[in-house]
Parts: sequence; structure tokens; C-alpha cells
Amino acid sequence: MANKKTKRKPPPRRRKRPASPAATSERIEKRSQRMKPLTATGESTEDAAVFDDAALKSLPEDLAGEAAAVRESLSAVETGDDKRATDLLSKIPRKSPYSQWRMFIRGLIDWYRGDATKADEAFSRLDQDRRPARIAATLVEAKQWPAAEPLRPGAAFARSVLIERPALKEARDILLKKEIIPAEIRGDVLIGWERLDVLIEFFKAHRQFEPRLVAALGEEVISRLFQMTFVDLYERGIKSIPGPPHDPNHTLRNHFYFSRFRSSNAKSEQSLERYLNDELPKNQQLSPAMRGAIAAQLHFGRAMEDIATLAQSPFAQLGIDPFEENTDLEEQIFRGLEAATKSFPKFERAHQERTKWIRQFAEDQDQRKDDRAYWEQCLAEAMRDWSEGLPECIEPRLWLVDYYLENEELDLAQPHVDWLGKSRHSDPRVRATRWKWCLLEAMRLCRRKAWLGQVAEQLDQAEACWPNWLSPTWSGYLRAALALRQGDAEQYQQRRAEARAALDGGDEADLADAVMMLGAAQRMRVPSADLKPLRVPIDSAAKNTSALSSKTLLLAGAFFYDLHRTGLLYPAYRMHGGKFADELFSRIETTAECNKVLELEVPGWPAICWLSTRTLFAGTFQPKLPAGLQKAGSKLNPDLTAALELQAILQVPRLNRKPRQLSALVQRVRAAADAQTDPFQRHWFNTLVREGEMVSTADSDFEDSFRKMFERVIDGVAPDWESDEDDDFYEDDEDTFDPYCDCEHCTRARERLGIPHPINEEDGDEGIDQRTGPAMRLDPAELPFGEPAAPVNLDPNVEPPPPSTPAPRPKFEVDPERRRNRPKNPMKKRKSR
Amino acid sequence: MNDSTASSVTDPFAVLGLKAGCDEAEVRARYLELVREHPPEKDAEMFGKIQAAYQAARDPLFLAKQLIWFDEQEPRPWKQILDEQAAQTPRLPTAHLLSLGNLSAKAKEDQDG
Repeated sequence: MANKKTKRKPPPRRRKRPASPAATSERIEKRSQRMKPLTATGESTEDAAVFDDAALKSLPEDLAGEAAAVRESLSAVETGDDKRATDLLSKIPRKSPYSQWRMFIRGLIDWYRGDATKADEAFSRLDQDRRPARIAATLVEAKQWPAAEPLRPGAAFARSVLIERPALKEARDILLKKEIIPAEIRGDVLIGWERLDVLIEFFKAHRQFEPRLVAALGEEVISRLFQMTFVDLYERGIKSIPGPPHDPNHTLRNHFYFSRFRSSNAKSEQSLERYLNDELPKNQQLSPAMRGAIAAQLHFGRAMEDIATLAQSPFAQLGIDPFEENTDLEEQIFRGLEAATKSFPKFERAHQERTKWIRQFAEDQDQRKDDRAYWEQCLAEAMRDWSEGLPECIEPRLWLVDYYLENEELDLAQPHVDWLGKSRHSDPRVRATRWKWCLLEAMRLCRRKAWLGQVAEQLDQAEACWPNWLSPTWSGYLRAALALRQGDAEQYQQRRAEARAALDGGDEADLADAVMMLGAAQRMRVPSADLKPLRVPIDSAAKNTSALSSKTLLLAGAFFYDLHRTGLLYPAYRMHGGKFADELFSRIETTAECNKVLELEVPGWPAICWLSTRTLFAGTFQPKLPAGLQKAGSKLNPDLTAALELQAILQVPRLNRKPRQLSALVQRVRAAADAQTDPFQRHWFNTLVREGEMVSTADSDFEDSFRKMFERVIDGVAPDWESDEDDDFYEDDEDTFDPYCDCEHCTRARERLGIPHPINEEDGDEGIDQRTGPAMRLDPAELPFGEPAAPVNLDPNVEPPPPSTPAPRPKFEVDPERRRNRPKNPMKKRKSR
Repeated sequence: MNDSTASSVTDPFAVLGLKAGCDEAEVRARYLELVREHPPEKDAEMFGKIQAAYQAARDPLFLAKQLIWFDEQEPRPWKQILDEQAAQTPRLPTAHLLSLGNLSAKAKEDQDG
């Protein structure tokens, strides 16, 4: 039997396995290197000029300009700036050979946005013999795969890159599969080492054709790394993934990241310094306004945080002036607020906080004359900056008018007076500008005997426009003071008697009479020899305030309130004003006495308002309106009581305010504002409402984010990861082990706790959300960059180690010229005293 | 424009119905669309809100505040990011786009012939 040759079956044809996304990406990369625009035979020079520099140079000037616009527009489309792309095309006339390109780019934008109808409409109008039409046809063909006709060159490439998108598939493979993370640290890990490494490679490979995908994933990666406390992992991420345009090197992010660790405070501060001084000013990707605004917000946020730190200091909590011990910090706040207003001059809140900050020093009653002069100079500078940055604001202008007139700088005051005179602002102080100008001018003219003849005229003019919300009684005392200044004793006696007669209150008005006379005499530059007898009754009253009747204090207080409202306080007020205010405050703390005071509508309520302007109703932690005032006040004058309460809350340090209490009062005062007949009171109510709204928003918004960021450090929640004490503690802990380690100790510890070796355990994203198990952290100090770290176990039930002394913050640089011109820092003097 | 205007609008992007951080062109386009929908003579209150939100969304101080906001937030699911990206067509580099207009060998022959 012949051996039959068995016919061998041909081996089954292997099915071609689909290429992996990574292989496809590699193929695209190779293909893309061959993709270059080439000038075809007979192609017009205009079309070639869009990509060929030699052709561009050969064009006449007008056409070359249009070709450049097309080039720029195509680049803008590539980066996604469609508005700029279309704006650039607007300069191309309809009859230009580049109108084809204009039509094409508009269609291209629609095509990218997925509006096929609009795109087709634009593409259908293109000249088929021109390059734009050929590109459009290729794009359309790439989308309509499989096509009956053979593919145009590049259509397969365009289909791969734009439609199939292997990068997207690859990203899905990387991100949607399970990631191996040890169970112990799963709760704290939002992205692990392996996935980070793969993603970094992925970003490098696909940055060219998938920039948006890469940017979106990179942003999320950085955000996850930022939320974890694994420093080496974070540093690996930020070195490989570029940051957003405003912070491409993650320097600003580093500031916030490292501020969470006490031991990295210096690093955090260095990052902020580098960002503000080096990187931000050189960042050309941001507009100048944006650069200024970012710097301003950072300076401002930091200054506000420092103010909060001061308010929280043990000294402040015990009611001791915290500034006595914190001169460096207060200097830093001073410079921070100044830098905020300089960086972005239209930053109203920063101007308000800056002037408020300086004002508290300027109005400090217990300081020397030269210290006060220094602060007044600083305040004037701050007010000038405010007025220049926000010319529509009246607050700095009103202050500057007073300041310039007091300092005889009429030329500087005049523009502000003119502006305020023309302004139709609702603030009654603006309408009283003319009155005040006359009054201050009268006072200025009293400086020299030769000018005294002109004073009466100025006083006449002031009387003619005396504001109706102010008591007119002081006018008589000013005339009496003028007589005294002129040396006319007889007329002085007569004027004084007339003025005294105009005062109600009998003997109880003696103190009011005395302070009104002394105030007028000091403002009208009466010589000190003549002032002495005027001081005597006031000094004796101030020595024994308990002997004064309540009505006596109220009548004087009502006058002081007028002076506060108009900014016309006289120098000697500092010597006795506080004593009378303290006495009156202690009286109204007694409910029965308070009821008596409030029954006297005038001068009762104005005097109560005077106490409020002296911040006597604001405590360190909460408002301290006397119970009697709250009870009786809410019956007799509920609107005004609510306004006083709101003002007291606004005067309480920021951290101790209660937002709900604040917003309820703001609503109440807003409702009452329109019903006020007194124009000053109406304006005051509205100002309180505005301030309350602003503070309420700020408290719950931006500043809170800063506060949260630092509270962890301030409150001692964040442990000091680099402390030696930590290491000692963990060495003694039997349960401390490395889940990856195979040494005897770690293996035994795993077995004891029943935890499997992590390498054998698979897990994914689902597990990450279940935040269970003891927290695991990496010690940044001990780990080399770029290598997986050995985790250290941290038992959350163990108290964190005591805080280490934070590194001193580096000082901000200020303009050296301005620094030279400034007087010595009285903060230092205060400390030395 | 100062910060008081910006602070009066808590989230201007939400009022305009936009995603935070979108570009100026998108903000303007959406603003014009909303103003057409709510003209001042028909819906003065809404118009006022739109106007304030538009101003705030262009205010450098407000935008700066948004940019430097490094508050901790819940991680976004990877799938959501990938789905969002899948809905957008990537943009070709300009040189590659222009090369799509190159003539094929056959077309060249036809042209020469």
C-alpha cells in the first residue's frame, strides 16, 4: 500500500491582532514627522506664503500682511483661542486672495466645535483648486470613513489623530484599571506611584496632538497630589507636569502646600517670595492687570491672615495690646497692605483695610507727638494712594481735605474740594464740604494776627451753610474764641455769655460749655496763656468724673459726637475725652441709669453714639452692648439700637464675628435706613449695611480659605513630620511596619494584624474612596527625590508633638526711597518704651 | 470696576451659566446671549444680575482670587474627565493641518497631464 501522502492542511491564517493604543500612537508619531506642507506645482504664491517663508517675502506688502494674519489666526485656532483667530481675519478684505483662507478658518472653527452644518456651508464655498478647499475636503473625508473613493493623502492620519484618538484609549487603559495600593494607606492615596509614573510618560508622548487632554489630566493629577501629604510624590509630580499659565513652575502652589507643615514654613515663605518677586513680574502669559491683581490678592490675604494671628495671640486674648510684643508682625502687615494697594490700585478693600490699620495707630491716645506725626504721614500717603487708584471714592478725599487744610497745603486741598463740591454724593459730609472749608479756613487765618480781620467773614459764610444735622451752638463759641484771639476781653465775655445762654441744661451744661469753649479756643489758635484758665474746669472734672451728673456727661458727649462726625477734634480732647467716655459707659452698664439716659432723647442718644465711635461697645470676642441699652433701646429706638449693635460687631476682630448674627443685623439696619429723617443717620445706616455686606462676604469667602489653610498650623492639628520626637515614638511602636517590606519585623507585624502583602492584593479607584485604616505618611526629609518612599505609620489617636518654633518670615522689600523718607518706625519705639 | 462689585456677586460664572475659568470670548458670547433673552425693559432685575455677573467675571481681582484658590476639593473621577475630553475634537498642529492640502501623486499627474 502505497503511502498516501497526506495533504497537509495549511495552517489557519492568523487573525491580525488589533494594534495596542501605544503602538498606534507610535505609528502616528512616525507618520507625523513626514507631514509637512509642500508647495505643489502651479500652486499660487499667496497659498504657499501661508507656510513658506520665501513665498511670503516675495509678496507685496499688503498681501504679506494678510498672509501673516492668516498664519497668526491658524496658530490661534490651534491653541483654542477662536475669538482672537476670527478677530485677526477681520482685516482681510472680501476681494483679497486670502478671503478663501478667511472662509476656511471660520469653517474650521465650526468643524472643530462639532457644528458640521455650518462647517460644510463654509467649506462648500471654497475654490476647489486652492489649498484651503483641499484641507477641508481631507477633514470631511477623514470623518466620513470608509469612503468609496481612495483616500486623500493625510486623511488616514487626520482620522487617527482627530477621530479615533488612540491617546484617549490609552488614557482609559491607564486610568480605569485598578491600581495597587496598600490597604493601610488606601484612604489617603488619591494617586499612587505607579500610576503617576505611567501618566508622566503618557503626557510626554501625547503633548503634541492631545494638549487639552494632557492638560486636563495633568491638572487633576496635581490637584490630587496637592491634597495628599506625600511630599516626595508631590515633588515628583510638579517637576514633570507643567502648571497653569499663572503658575507654570508650581511655585505658588508650593507656598500653600508647604505651609501645611510646620517644619516647612521657611520653604513655603521662600516659594511665595520667589513667586511674587521673580516669577510673577516676568510672566508674559498674563496681562499686566492680571499680574497686579494676583500680587495684590496674595499680599492682602497674607496681611489679613497676620492680623488674625495677632488677634489670636495670647496677649490679645488677655486684653493686652498685642502690638507691644509683635512689632515685626505689625510691620509686615503694614507692608503687606501697602503692597496690595500698590500692586492693584483699584483694590478698594485693600485701601480700606490699609487705612483702618494705620488709623488705629494714628488715633492712639497714648503716644508721643512725633509718633503721631509719623502715623499721620503714613495715613496721608495711604489716603493719597486710595484717592489716585479710585478717584470716585469720597472717603479719602474728605480725609485729605482736612489733612491738607490742617497743614496749610491749600493747593493740594483745592482739587479735592472742587471735586467734592461738584459731586452729588448722598454722604452729608460731602454736602458739608463748603461749610467745613470755611470753618477750617477761619481757623487757619487765626494763625497770624494780620489775617484775623478776614476770620469773621469766613465764620459768617460757615454759619450760612451750617449743616442741619449738626448742633449750631458751637458757632457762638467760635466767635468768642475769635474775640479772645484778638485780645478783646470784653467782647469775649459777651460772646461767651451769649453762647452759654444758648445751651440748655442749666448748671449741668457747665462741662459742655467748658469743652466747647476750650475746643473752639484751641482750634482758633488762642495763645496757651489764655488757654490755661479754660482748661481748669475740665481738668478738675476729669479728675473726679464720678462726681459729675449723668446729664453733664451726656451734654458734653453729644458735643464730642459732633466733633467726631466732622473730624474737628481739638488737641486737648485726647487728655480728657477717654475719661468722660469711660465714666459714661460705666454708668449705662447699670440698667436703671441707662433707662434714665435713654429717656433724654437729646443729648442721650448722640452721647451713646459717641461711645460707639470710641469702640467701647466692641469686645475682643463679642460686642458688649450693655444689657440695659439693648433692652430699653430696642423699645425706645429699635433702629438706632440695631445700628449700634451692628457697628459693635463690625468693630470686633474678624475671627470672632458670627456670620449669622451679622447678616440678620445687616438686614434689619437696611430696612431701617430709608426711614431715617436725619441725613447723617441715614448715611451712617447705609454705610454700616455696605460694610456689613462686604465683611460678611469676605469672612465666609476668600479670607476663610487662607484661614483654613493656616489654621491647621496655628491650631496644632498638623503634626511636625520632621520632628525627632516622632521618630523616637515610632521606633518604639510595635505596630509600625512597612507594608512592602519583607523583613522579619514587617512580615510578623503584617501577620499579627492579618494584613496581606500589598503586592498580592489588587485594588482600584473604588477602594480609594473608602477612607479607612490608619493614616500612612511619607517623611519628606528622609526620602530621596523620585524614589518610592518607605511609609511611616502615624497613629491618628496619638497627640501631635509640640509645635516647633516657626521660621521667621522674610521681610518684604519696599521702595528704598520711600523708606528713607519715612520717620523712624514708632513700632520699635513703642516696644522700647 | 473695584472689588466691591465683584464681591457682591458670589459666583458670576454660575449666574452666566458657564464653567469657572472659561475664556473671555465665551463669557462675552454668553453675556450677549443672556442680554438678548432678558432685555432691561422686560426683566430689569435679571438684567441687573447678568450685568453685575459679567462685570465680575471680567474683573482681574475676582479672576485672580479664583486662580489662587488652592482649597482642597474632592477629586474628580477620571472617567468624567475622559468623557469630557472625548466630547471635544483635538486641534491639529498648524503644520500638520496645512499638509493635509498637499496634492497626492495621482492628483499631481492629473494636473501635469
